[in-house]
Amino acid sequence: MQSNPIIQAEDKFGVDESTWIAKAQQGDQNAFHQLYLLHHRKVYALCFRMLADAGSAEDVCQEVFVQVWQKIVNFRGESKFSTWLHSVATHIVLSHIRKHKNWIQKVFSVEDQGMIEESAEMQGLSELDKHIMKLPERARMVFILFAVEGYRHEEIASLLKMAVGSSKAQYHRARQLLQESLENE
Amino acid sequence: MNNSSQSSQAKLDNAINDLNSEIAPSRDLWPGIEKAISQQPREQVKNNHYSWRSNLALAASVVALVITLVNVNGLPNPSNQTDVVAMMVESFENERQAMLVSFGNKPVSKNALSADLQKQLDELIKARKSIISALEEDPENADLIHLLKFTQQQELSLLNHIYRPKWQTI
Repeated sequence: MQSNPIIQAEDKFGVDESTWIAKAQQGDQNAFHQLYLLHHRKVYALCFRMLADAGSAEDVCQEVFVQVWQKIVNFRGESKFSTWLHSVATHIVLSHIRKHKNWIQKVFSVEDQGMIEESAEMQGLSELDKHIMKLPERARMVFILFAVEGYRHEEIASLLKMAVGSSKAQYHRARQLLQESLENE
Repeated sequence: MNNSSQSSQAKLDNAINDLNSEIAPSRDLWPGIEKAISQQPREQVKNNHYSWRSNLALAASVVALVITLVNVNGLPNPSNQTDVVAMMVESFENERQAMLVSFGNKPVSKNALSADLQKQLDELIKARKSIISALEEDPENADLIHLLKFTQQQELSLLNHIYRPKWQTI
C-alpha cells in the first residue's frame, strides 16, 4: 500500500499535474507514474463499485491506465484530466462488464446478476458502499454513474444502452433498496 | 411523503455526500501497468489521426498521380516486370488474409466502422486498384511500383487499426 500518494506525486518534485500530463504525453513513464499515484484510487473506486469484485476491479484499473497511456496524447486539456480519465475508465469498465456477462445472462437476457453477499474484500468499506455492492447489477451501475460519478440519465442511457426512463427507474429502485438497507442497519 | 420516508431519504443523501471518492486497491497495481506499457509500443493515436487523414489525401492523390505517370511515361511494352507486380499483389493478398485470420476473420460490419475509417479504407482500396490497373499498362514504371507498395502498406496498417482488439489483458 502506498503512503500519501497525492503528496508524493505533487510534492516530490514540486511539479503540478499539467506538467506530469505534458511529460507523459511525450512518453515519460515516470511522469505517468505520478499521474497514476494521483488518480488510481479514484479510478479503482469506480471500478470496484461498478464491478463489485476486488480482483476484477484491480485488473480493470490496470487496463484503464494502460489504455490511458496509449491515449494520453489525445488529451488536449479541453476538460479536467480527472474528467477525461473517468470517462475513459467508465467506458473500459462497461466494456469489461459486457464481455464478461455469463452465458445465462446473454442467452436469456437476464438483467441482473444475483445479489452479492458481503465478503472479506468489503471490509473497510463504508456502510453505504457495502450496501451498494449488494445492489442488483443494473441498479448498482445506474446509481454509481448518476449519484457518484455525476452522469445525467441521458448519458447513462446511452452508455448502458437502455431507455432514459429505465435509467431513472433503476436509480429509483437503487435508492429504495439502499434506503431500506440503511434503515435495517 | 411521511416523516419516516423523508428521514430515510435524508439519511441516504447524507451517506452519498459522505461517500469517499477514493478506495485503495489491496495490492500495488503499478508494476503490472509499468510492464504492460513498457512492452507495448505506444499507439500514436493523435499522430495516427492526422496520418490517416493525410494518408486519405495521399490515397486520393495517388489516383491522380497514376494518371499523370502513365501519361508522361507513355505505355511501354509489357515485360517480366508484370511478374513482379503479380507477386506483389499475391503477397499483399496473402498478408491481408493472414492478418484477418489472426484477428479471428470476423468481418467488420460497415455499421461498426466510423464513417471516417470506412472512407479511408475505401479510398485506399480504390487507390490500390487504380495503381494495379495502371501497372498492367505500364509494368516497368518504378514510381507506380513504389506507390503500390506504399498503398498496400497503408491498407494493412489501417486494417490492423480497425481489427486490433480493443481489450487487451495485462
